[in-house]
Amino acid sequence: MLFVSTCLCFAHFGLAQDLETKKGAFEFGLQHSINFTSLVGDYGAITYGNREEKYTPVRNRTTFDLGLFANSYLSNSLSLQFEVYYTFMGAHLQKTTSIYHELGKFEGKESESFAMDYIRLPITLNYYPSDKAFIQFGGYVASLLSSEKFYPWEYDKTRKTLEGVNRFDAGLMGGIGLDTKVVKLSFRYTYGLQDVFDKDENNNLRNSVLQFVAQWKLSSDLRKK
Amino acid sequence: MKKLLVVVFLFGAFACDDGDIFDVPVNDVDGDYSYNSSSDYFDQKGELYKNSINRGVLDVQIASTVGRISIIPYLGWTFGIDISNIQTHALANGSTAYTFRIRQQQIDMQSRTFNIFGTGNKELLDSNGSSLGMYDGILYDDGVAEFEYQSIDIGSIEYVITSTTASN
Repeated sequence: MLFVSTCLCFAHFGLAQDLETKKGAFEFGLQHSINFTSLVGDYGAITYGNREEKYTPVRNRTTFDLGLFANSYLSNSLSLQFEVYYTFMGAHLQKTTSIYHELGKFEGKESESFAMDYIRLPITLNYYPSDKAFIQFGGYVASLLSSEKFYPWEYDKTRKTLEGVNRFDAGLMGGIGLDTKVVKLSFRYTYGLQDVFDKDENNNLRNSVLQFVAQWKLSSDLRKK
Repeated sequence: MKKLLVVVFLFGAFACDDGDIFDVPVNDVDGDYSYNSSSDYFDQKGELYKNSINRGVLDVQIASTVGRISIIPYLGWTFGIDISNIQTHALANGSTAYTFRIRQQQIDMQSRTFNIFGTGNKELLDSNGSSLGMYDGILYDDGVAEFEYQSIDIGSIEYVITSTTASN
Protein backbone atom coordinates (compact mmCIF):
# COMPACT_ATOMS: atom_id res chain seq x y z
CA MET A 1 0.00 0.00 0.00
CA LEU A 2 2.85 2.32 0.91
CA PHE A 3 4.51 1.44 -2.37
CA VAL A 4 1.36 2.30 -4.37
CA SER A 5 0.92 5.58 -2.50
CA THR A 6 4.53 6.50 -3.14
CA CYS A 7 4.17 5.71 -6.83
CA LEU A 8 1.02 7.80 -7.15
CA CYS A 9 2.67 10.66 -5.29
CA PHE A 10 5.68 10.55 -7.61
CA ALA A 11 3.34 10.24 -10.58
CA HIS A 12 1.53 13.38 -9.56
CA PHE A 13 4.79 15.32 -9.29
CA GLY A 14 5.94 13.91 -12.59
CA LEU A 15 2.83 15.00 -14.38
CA ALA A 16 3.14 18.47 -12.96
CA GLN A 17 6.81 18.86 -13.87
CA ASP A 18 7.08 18.20 -17.62
CA LEU A 19 3.88 17.27 -19.23
CA GLU A 20 4.39 17.32 -22.96
CA THR A 21 7.78 16.00 -24.13
CA LYS A 22 7.11 12.21 -24.07
CA LYS A 23 3.33 12.16 -23.93
CA GLY A 24 1.87 9.97 -26.64
CA ALA A 25 5.18 8.38 -27.54
CA PHE A 26 4.98 4.69 -28.30
CA GLU A 27 7.57 1.96 -28.40
CA PHE A 28 7.49 -1.75 -28.83
CA GLY A 29 9.89 -4.61 -29.20
CA LEU A 30 11.12 -8.01 -28.09
CA GLN A 31 11.77 -8.99 -24.54
CA HIS A 32 13.48 -11.85 -22.80
CA SER A 33 14.22 -12.53 -19.20
CA ILE A 34 15.98 -14.78 -16.79
CA ASN A 35 13.69 -16.01 -14.04
CA PHE A 36 14.08 -17.61 -10.65
CA THR A 37 10.74 -19.23 -10.07
CA SER A 38 9.34 -20.92 -6.99
CA LEU A 39 6.10 -21.96 -5.34
CA VAL A 40 5.42 -20.14 -2.10
CA GLY A 41 2.76 -20.76 0.54
CA ASP A 42 1.64 -23.67 2.66
CA TYR A 43 3.07 -27.04 1.75
CA GLY A 44 0.62 -29.37 3.47
CA ALA A 45 0.68 -33.15 3.57
CA ILE A 46 -1.50 -35.05 1.10
CA THR A 47 -2.95 -38.27 2.53
CA TYR A 48 -3.93 -41.32 0.50
CA GLY A 49 -5.13 -43.87 3.06
CA ASN A 50 -2.10 -44.83 5.12
CA ARG A 51 0.27 -43.17 2.66
CA GLU A 52 1.23 -39.52 3.06
CA GLU A 53 3.09 -37.25 0.66
CA LYS A 54 4.64 -33.97 1.65
CA TYR A 55 6.58 -31.56 -0.54
CA THR A 56 9.20 -29.15 0.66
CA PRO A 57 10.90 -26.54 -1.53
CA VAL A 58 14.56 -27.21 -2.31
CA ARG A 59 15.56 -24.38 -4.61
CA ASN A 60 14.29 -22.04 -7.31
CA ARG A 61 13.93 -23.14 -10.88
CA THR A 62 15.91 -21.01 -13.35
CA THR A 63 14.11 -20.38 -16.63
CA PHE A 64 14.19 -18.06 -19.64
CA ASP A 65 11.20 -16.27 -21.17
CA LEU A 66 10.56 -14.74 -24.55
CA GLY A 67 7.87 -12.29 -25.60
CA LEU A 68 6.78 -8.88 -26.86
CA PHE A 69 6.15 -5.59 -25.18
CA ALA A 70 4.61 -2.22 -25.97
CA ASN A 71 5.05 0.95 -23.98
CA SER A 72 2.83 3.98 -24.26
CA TYR A 73 3.79 7.23 -22.53
CA LEU A 74 0.94 8.91 -20.71
CA SER A 75 3.21 11.79 -19.79
CA ASN A 76 6.89 12.58 -19.56
CA SER A 77 7.22 10.52 -16.39
CA LEU A 78 4.48 7.95 -16.66
CA SER A 79 3.96 5.12 -19.11
CA LEU A 80 1.66 2.18 -19.48
CA GLN A 81 3.35 -1.03 -20.52
CA PHE A 82 1.73 -4.10 -22.04
CA GLU A 83 3.54 -7.40 -22.39
CA VAL A 84 2.82 -10.85 -23.67
CA TYR A 85 5.28 -13.65 -23.17
CA TYR A 86 5.65 -17.36 -22.82
CA THR A 87 6.82 -18.13 -19.34
CA PHE A 88 8.18 -21.22 -17.63
CA MET A 89 7.25 -21.48 -13.96
CA GLY A 90 7.68 -24.13 -11.29
CA ALA A 91 10.09 -25.19 -8.59
CA HIS A 92 12.51 -27.88 -7.52
CA LEU A 93 11.06 -29.81 -4.58
CA GLN A 94 11.70 -32.75 -2.35
CA LYS A 95 8.88 -35.24 -1.94
CA THR A 96 8.76 -37.20 1.31
CA THR A 97 6.51 -40.25 1.14
CA SER A 98 5.53 -41.78 4.48
CA ILE A 99 3.88 -45.18 4.63
CA TYR A 100 2.17 -45.82 7.94
CA HIS A 101 2.61 -49.56 7.99
CA GLU A 102 1.25 -51.69 10.81
CA LEU A 103 4.77 -52.40 12.02
CA GLY A 104 6.06 -48.85 11.82
CA LYS A 105 6.45 -45.70 9.80
CA PHE A 106 8.55 -45.96 6.62
CA GLU A 107 9.83 -42.84 4.92
CA GLY A 108 11.30 -42.30 1.49
CA LYS A 109 12.59 -39.09 -0.10
CA GLU A 110 12.95 -38.20 -3.76
CA SER A 111 13.62 -35.08 -5.78
CA GLU A 112 10.80 -33.88 -7.94
CA SER A 113 10.37 -30.75 -10.05
CA PHE A 114 7.18 -29.05 -11.14
CA ALA A 115 7.17 -27.27 -14.50
CA MET A 116 4.21 -25.13 -15.52
CA ASP A 117 4.15 -23.16 -18.77
CA TYR A 118 1.90 -20.12 -19.11
CA ILE A 119 1.12 -17.38 -21.57
CA ARG A 120 1.27 -14.30 -19.39
CA LEU A 121 -0.15 -10.84 -20.07
CA PRO A 122 1.10 -8.18 -17.65
CA ILE A 123 0.04 -4.55 -17.58
CA THR A 124 2.28 -2.23 -15.62
CA LEU A 125 2.47 1.43 -14.84
CA ASN A 126 6.00 2.78 -15.08
CA TYR A 127 6.94 5.91 -13.24
CA TYR A 128 10.13 7.74 -14.23
CA PRO A 129 11.53 9.78 -11.34
CA SER A 130 14.49 10.59 -13.60
CA ASP A 131 15.09 10.37 -17.32
CA LYS A 132 16.52 6.85 -17.27
CA ALA A 133 15.29 5.13 -14.12
CA PHE A 134 11.79 3.92 -13.55
CA ILE A 135 9.66 2.22 -10.94
CA GLN A 136 7.17 -0.34 -12.12
CA PHE A 137 3.97 -1.68 -10.60
CA GLY A 138 1.15 -3.70 -12.08
CA GLY A 139 -0.57 -6.99 -12.44
CA TYR A 140 -0.90 -9.90 -14.78
CA VAL A 141 -3.25 -12.61 -15.96
CA ALA A 142 -1.96 -15.91 -17.29
CA SER A 143 -3.30 -19.00 -18.95
CA LEU A 144 -1.79 -22.43 -18.35
CA LEU A 145 -0.42 -24.19 -21.43
CA SER A 146 1.12 -27.29 -19.87
CA SER A 147 2.03 -28.72 -16.49
CA GLU A 148 4.52 -31.50 -15.91
CA LYS A 149 6.64 -33.03 -13.21
CA PHE A 150 10.08 -34.46 -13.74
CA TYR A 151 13.03 -35.80 -11.78
CA PRO A 152 16.08 -33.67 -12.53
CA TRP A 153 18.65 -35.46 -10.38
CA GLU A 154 17.41 -38.99 -10.92
CA TYR A 155 18.15 -41.51 -13.64
CA ASP A 156 14.50 -41.37 -14.59
CA LYS A 157 14.31 -38.65 -17.25
CA THR A 158 10.66 -39.15 -18.13
CA ARG A 159 8.19 -36.34 -17.68
CA LYS A 160 4.72 -36.94 -16.30
CA THR A 161 1.63 -34.78 -16.41
CA LEU A 162 1.15 -32.74 -13.26
CA GLU A 163 -2.53 -33.04 -12.41
CA GLY A 164 -4.79 -30.51 -10.75
CA VAL A 165 -3.07 -27.30 -11.82
CA ASN A 166 -5.36 -24.29 -12.13
CA ARG A 167 -5.83 -23.23 -15.75
CA PHE A 168 -5.79 -19.57 -14.79
CA ASP A 169 -3.35 -17.48 -12.84
CA ALA A 170 -3.27 -13.81 -11.85
CA GLY A 171 -1.06 -11.74 -9.64
CA LEU A 172 0.82 -8.57 -8.86
CA MET A 173 4.24 -7.42 -9.90
CA GLY A 174 6.59 -4.60 -9.04
CA GLY A 175 10.17 -3.61 -9.66
CA ILE A 176 12.72 -1.07 -10.78
CA GLY A 177 14.49 -0.52 -14.07
CA LEU A 178 16.77 1.43 -16.33
CA ASP A 179 15.57 2.79 -19.66
CA THR A 180 17.84 3.67 -22.58
CA LYS A 181 17.03 4.49 -26.18
CA VAL A 182 17.72 0.91 -27.25
CA VAL A 183 17.01 -1.33 -24.31
CA LYS A 184 15.04 -1.29 -21.13
CA LEU A 185 16.42 -3.35 -18.25
CA SER A 186 14.34 -4.15 -15.22
CA PHE A 187 14.43 -6.23 -12.09
CA ARG A 188 11.08 -7.19 -10.68
CA TYR A 189 9.16 -9.57 -8.45
CA THR A 190 5.91 -11.27 -9.35
CA TYR A 191 3.56 -12.90 -6.88
CA GLY A 192 0.53 -14.99 -7.80
CA LEU A 193 -2.78 -14.32 -6.10
CA GLN A 194 -4.32 -17.53 -7.38
CA ASP A 195 -3.68 -21.00 -5.93
CA VAL A 196 -1.65 -23.07 -8.37
CA PHE A 197 -3.46 -26.29 -7.50
CA ASP A 198 -7.19 -25.84 -7.82
CA LYS A 199 -8.58 -28.80 -5.84
CA ASP A 200 -5.89 -29.43 -3.29
CA GLU A 201 -7.05 -28.10 0.06
CA ASN A 202 -3.79 -29.03 1.79
CA ASN A 203 -1.49 -27.07 -0.48
CA ASN A 204 -2.06 -23.33 -0.89
CA LEU A 205 0.81 -22.59 -3.22
CA ARG A 206 1.28 -19.51 -5.36
CA ASN A 207 3.61 -18.75 -8.24
CA SER A 208 6.50 -16.53 -7.33
CA VAL A 209 9.23 -15.27 -9.63
CA LEU A 210 12.20 -12.93 -9.50
CA GLN A 211 12.90 -11.61 -13.00
CA PHE A 212 15.72 -9.80 -14.78
CA VAL A 213 14.11 -8.49 -17.95
CA ALA A 214 15.70 -7.03 -21.07
CA GLN A 215 13.33 -5.29 -23.46
CA TRP A 216 14.81 -4.46 -26.86
CA LYS A 217 13.11 -1.54 -28.56
CA LEU A 218 12.51 -2.41 -32.21
CA SER A 219 10.59 0.78 -32.68
CA SER A 220 10.51 3.88 -30.52
CA ASP A 221 8.94 7.25 -31.17
CA LEU A 222 11.44 8.72 -28.72
CA ARG A 223 14.39 7.84 -30.98
CA LYS A 224 12.78 9.80 -33.79
CA LYS A 225 12.45 12.92 -31.67
CA MET B 1 7.17 -107.48 4.08
CA LYS B 2 5.93 -104.78 1.70
CA LYS B 3 2.75 -104.29 3.73
CA LEU B 4 4.81 -104.06 6.87
CA LEU B 5 6.96 -101.29 5.35
CA VAL B 6 3.86 -99.32 4.35
CA VAL B 7 2.38 -99.64 7.81
CA VAL B 8 5.66 -98.61 9.41
CA PHE B 9 5.97 -95.59 7.08
CA LEU B 10 2.44 -94.44 7.74
CA PHE B 11 2.82 -94.91 11.46
CA GLY B 12 6.06 -92.95 11.41
CA ALA B 13 4.59 -90.16 9.36
CA PHE B 14 1.60 -89.62 11.64
CA ALA B 15 3.76 -89.98 14.70
CA CYS B 16 5.97 -87.13 13.44
CA ASP B 17 3.05 -84.80 12.73
CA ASP B 18 3.46 -81.78 14.95
CA GLY B 19 1.09 -79.70 12.89
CA ASP B 20 3.66 -78.38 10.42
CA ILE B 21 3.95 -81.40 8.12
CA PHE B 22 0.28 -82.25 7.96
CA ASP B 23 -1.32 -78.87 8.30
CA VAL B 24 -4.87 -80.18 8.48
CA PRO B 25 -7.30 -77.60 9.83
CA VAL B 26 -8.44 -78.68 13.21
CA ASN B 27 -11.27 -76.18 13.31
CA ASP B 28 -13.26 -73.81 11.18
CA VAL B 29 -11.23 -70.66 11.87
CA ASP B 30 -8.46 -71.34 9.33
CA GLY B 31 -8.48 -69.46 6.03
CA ASP B 32 -8.61 -66.00 4.49
CA TYR B 33 -10.05 -62.96 6.22
CA SER B 34 -10.59 -59.35 5.22
CA TYR B 35 -9.35 -57.05 7.90
CA ASN B 36 -9.36 -53.48 9.16
CA SER B 37 -6.74 -52.41 11.61
CA SER B 38 -6.18 -49.25 13.56
CA SER B 39 -2.58 -48.35 14.33
CA ASP B 40 -1.48 -45.78 16.91
CA TYR B 41 2.03 -44.42 16.31
CA PHE B 42 4.13 -43.32 19.28
CA ASP B 43 7.44 -41.47 19.17
CA GLN B 44 10.56 -42.19 21.27
CA LYS B 45 9.01 -40.33 24.20
CA GLY B 46 5.90 -42.47 24.04
CA GLU B 47 3.72 -39.67 22.74
CA LEU B 48 1.01 -40.51 20.25
CA TYR B 49 1.56 -38.61 16.99
CA LYS B 50 -0.54 -40.40 14.41
CA ASN B 51 -3.39 -42.83 13.93
CA SER B 52 -3.75 -44.75 10.72
CA ILE B 53 -6.33 -47.16 9.37
CA ASN B 54 -5.04 -50.12 7.39
CA ARG B 55 -6.92 -52.59 5.26
CA GLY B 56 -5.97 -55.87 3.68
CA VAL B 57 -6.36 -59.60 3.86
CA LEU B 58 -4.91 -62.11 6.28
CA ASP B 59 -4.53 -65.83 6.31
CA VAL B 60 -4.91 -67.82 9.51
CA GLN B 61 -3.39 -71.27 9.79
CA ILE B 62 -3.47 -73.05 13.11
CA ALA B 63 -2.50 -76.55 14.03
CA SER B 64 -2.81 -77.93 17.49
CA THR B 65 -1.67 -75.18 19.90
CA VAL B 66 0.43 -73.08 17.49
CA GLY B 67 -0.24 -71.23 14.26
CA ARG B 68 0.62 -68.36 12.01
CA ILE B 69 -1.22 -65.28 10.78
CA SER B 70 0.01 -63.95 7.45
CA ILE B 71 -0.91 -60.28 7.04
CA ILE B 72 -1.13 -58.78 3.55
CA PRO B 73 -1.97 -55.04 3.67
CA TYR B 74 -3.43 -53.42 0.55
CA LEU B 75 -0.77 -50.70 0.92
CA GLY B 76 2.47 -51.97 2.35
CA TRP B 77 4.59 -55.04 2.80
CA THR B 78 3.45 -58.52 3.77
CA PHE B 79 4.52 -60.05 7.05
CA GLY B 80 3.57 -62.91 9.34
CA ILE B 81 3.03 -63.36 13.06
CA ASP B 82 3.53 -66.62 14.88
CA ILE B 83 0.92 -67.41 17.49
CA SER B 84 0.96 -69.94 20.30
CA ASN B 85 -0.92 -71.16 23.37
CA ILE B 86 -4.06 -71.68 21.31
CA GLN B 87 -6.86 -72.67 23.62
CA THR B 88 -10.37 -73.77 22.80
CA HIS B 89 -13.26 -72.28 24.75
CA ALA B 90 -16.80 -73.63 24.62
CA LEU B 91 -19.12 -70.69 25.11
CA ALA B 92 -22.46 -70.83 26.88
CA ASN B 93 -24.42 -70.43 23.64
CA GLY B 94 -22.77 -73.52 22.17
CA SER B 95 -20.28 -71.71 19.90
CA THR B 96 -16.51 -72.08 20.13
CA ALA B 97 -13.77 -69.45 20.49
CA TYR B 98 -10.03 -69.90 20.22
CA THR B 99 -7.69 -67.65 22.14
CA PHE B 100 -4.00 -67.25 21.49
CA ARG B 101 -0.83 -65.46 22.50
CA ILE B 102 1.48 -63.54 20.16
CA ARG B 103 4.87 -64.50 21.49
CA GLN B 104 7.73 -62.03 21.16
CA GLN B 105 9.38 -62.30 17.78
CA GLN B 106 11.52 -60.24 15.44
CA ILE B 107 10.53 -59.22 11.93
CA ASP B 108 12.99 -57.69 9.47
CA MET B 109 11.43 -55.36 6.95
CA GLN B 110 13.02 -52.82 4.60
CA SER B 111 16.38 -53.01 6.39
CA ARG B 112 14.79 -52.42 9.77
CA THR B 113 14.10 -54.79 12.63
CA PHE B 114 10.92 -54.79 14.66
CA ASN B 115 10.15 -56.56 17.91
CA ILE B 116 6.56 -57.81 17.95
CA PHE B 117 4.56 -59.01 20.90
CA GLY B 118 0.94 -59.21 21.96
CA THR B 119 -0.64 -56.63 24.23
CA GLY B 120 -2.99 -58.98 26.08
CA ASN B 121 -5.81 -56.47 25.71
CA LYS B 122 -8.46 -58.63 24.09
CA GLU B 123 -11.05 -59.86 26.52
CA LEU B 124 -12.98 -63.02 25.76
CA LEU B 125 -16.55 -62.59 26.89
CA ASP B 126 -18.91 -65.47 27.19
CA SER B 127 -22.31 -65.18 25.57
CA ASN B 128 -23.75 -64.46 29.01
CA GLY B 129 -21.35 -61.51 29.43
CA SER B 130 -18.94 -63.03 31.90
CA SER B 131 -15.23 -62.59 31.28
CA LEU B 132 -13.22 -65.62 30.31
CA GLY B 133 -9.84 -63.86 30.49
CA MET B 134 -7.55 -61.46 28.63
CA TYR B 135 -5.61 -62.64 25.58
CA ASP B 136 -3.61 -61.28 22.65
CA GLY B 137 -6.17 -62.50 20.14
CA ILE B 138 -9.41 -64.39 19.71
CA LEU B 139 -10.78 -66.41 16.79
CA TYR B 140 -14.51 -67.04 16.79
CA ASP B 141 -16.08 -69.92 14.91
CA ASP B 142 -18.51 -67.53 13.17
CA GLY B 143 -15.56 -66.18 11.15
CA VAL B 144 -14.49 -63.16 13.19
CA ALA B 145 -10.94 -62.65 14.39
CA GLU B 146 -9.49 -59.92 16.58
CA PHE B 147 -6.01 -59.41 17.93
CA GLU B 148 -3.70 -56.64 19.09
CA TYR B 149 0.06 -56.40 19.04
CA GLN B 150 2.83 -53.91 19.66
CA SER B 151 5.70 -53.38 17.26
CA ILE B 152 8.89 -51.60 18.33
CA ASP B 153 11.43 -50.37 15.81
CA ILE B 154 14.59 -51.33 17.68
CA GLY B 155 16.57 -48.76 15.69
CA SER B 156 14.50 -45.69 16.52
CA ILE B 157 12.56 -47.02 19.57
CA GLU B 158 9.37 -45.66 18.05
CA TYR B 159 6.49 -48.06 18.46
CA VAL B 160 3.07 -48.87 17.05
CA ILE B 161 0.09 -50.56 18.67
CA THR B 162 -2.15 -52.18 16.09
CA SER B 163 -5.60 -53.53 16.80
CA THR B 164 -7.04 -55.71 14.07
CA THR B 165 -10.57 -56.91 13.42
CA ALA B 166 -11.11 -59.41 10.60
CA SER B 167 -13.93 -61.43 9.14
CA ASN B 168 -14.06 -64.14 6.52
